[in-house]
Amino acid sequence: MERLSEHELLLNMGPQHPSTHGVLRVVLKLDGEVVTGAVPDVGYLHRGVEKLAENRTYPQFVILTDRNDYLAAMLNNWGYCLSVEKLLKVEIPQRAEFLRVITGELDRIASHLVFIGTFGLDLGAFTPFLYAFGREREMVLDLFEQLCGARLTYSYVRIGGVSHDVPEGWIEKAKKFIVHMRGCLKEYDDLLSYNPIFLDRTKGIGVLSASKAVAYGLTGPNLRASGVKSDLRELDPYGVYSQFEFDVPTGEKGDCWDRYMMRRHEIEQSCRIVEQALDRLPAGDIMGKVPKVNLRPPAGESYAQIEGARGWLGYYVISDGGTSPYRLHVRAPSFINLAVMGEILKGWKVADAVAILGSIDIVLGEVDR
Amino acid sequence: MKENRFELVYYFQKSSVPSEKFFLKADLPRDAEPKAPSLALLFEAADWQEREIFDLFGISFTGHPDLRRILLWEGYPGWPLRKDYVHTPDRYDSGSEIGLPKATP
Repeated sequence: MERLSEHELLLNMGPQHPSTHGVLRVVLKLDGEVVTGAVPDVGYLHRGVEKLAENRTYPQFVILTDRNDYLAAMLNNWGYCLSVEKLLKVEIPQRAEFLRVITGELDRIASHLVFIGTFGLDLGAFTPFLYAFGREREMVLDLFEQLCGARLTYSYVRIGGVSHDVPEGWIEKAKKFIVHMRGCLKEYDDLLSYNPIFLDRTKGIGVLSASKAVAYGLTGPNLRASGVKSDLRELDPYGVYSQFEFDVPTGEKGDCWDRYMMRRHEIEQSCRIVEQALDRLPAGDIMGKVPKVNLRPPAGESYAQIEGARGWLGYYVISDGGTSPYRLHVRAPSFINLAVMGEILKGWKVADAVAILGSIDIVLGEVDR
Repeated sequence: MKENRFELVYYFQKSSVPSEKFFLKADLPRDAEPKAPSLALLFEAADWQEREIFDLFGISFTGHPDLRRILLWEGYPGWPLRKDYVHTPDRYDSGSEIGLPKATP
């Protein structure tokens, strides 16, 4: 950093910090309480997933994808499997596609619930955290546990289909959850969304214009909050998404409140999709024709992108015909969304820095891989 | 790589119309210090991604405003994602540094 003037202070919002949503370090240059510069420092959770991929077989890597974005693992699995399935040119049975949509959207709801809870918690609201994280999300996790045995790292979506079929009574339980979730959204609105203190702390804070958002490669709810109506499920559909009816909400100003409301509205839309999918779940197999041992996709490369909970999640796989990928790259939305931090934090106060960081909704597992 | 070159793959996609996308590939000779021009001033999104490539492959981007390691720490020896990378044993390897018992072979 250049020489500091007399009134400036370098504050280290260190890797261990309850509000940075993981091990993120942001070096803030402060003038009094106003942030004049911010340099994010990432890499504390770097596990070398892309290098590990070169030493793991294709099915083995599904487990590693869980740990990228651990709050929405179903969607991570799906992105990877889509990419490998493109190489294999295998057909996925319809039941598996619908199950992928159901679990993917339920996982998106779970991820957004974490966001609502922790965002409120960062700003001091304790109750929505207990409701969103501790009540609704537990219901989703219970559903997933009955389905595939895991609460966080599912490895449910596999290459060629999904790993388990729904147990008895699961569909009814899922429908009951959706009904319950809709009621809870009204509760969150009463508690948090239109709360005057919350509005004071998020409205007009951290405004990101649409042109800047597009220039920085922001995607997902952050981009939609700035007014760009862009959702991969609608504009470039994958799987069976073209069969479902849902809206794509957009924000107006691109401030923290808009980013928060984007995710809250997305929960509603995900509920709609899950309901439609549960009603139309066809019978059939859950796994396509994929060799069980020695999966060798033909040499080539493929890139598949899905609308993850945080943005466009892409997996770029280069295969040389062997059992392990030659090169695998994860286009992690949180990594690319985080790059805007250096720009967006300037001019706001330290307390706003927490709100802005929370509203971008990053997951360090994805940032660092 | 077998053919002794690096291949940079650029993926361009329109944010508002994501069905419009294309790939661009650039080949680099596999020198000790490969260089490529930076796109960071044209596309801010390329900034961190070029830093990541520099960090893991060692490809320098000329014209990048702030080219330094992003995921690994400063002073890390080598470029891990290269196929010919040999890991220099550091203090995280055996654990003997912090008193853990040595793994039995």
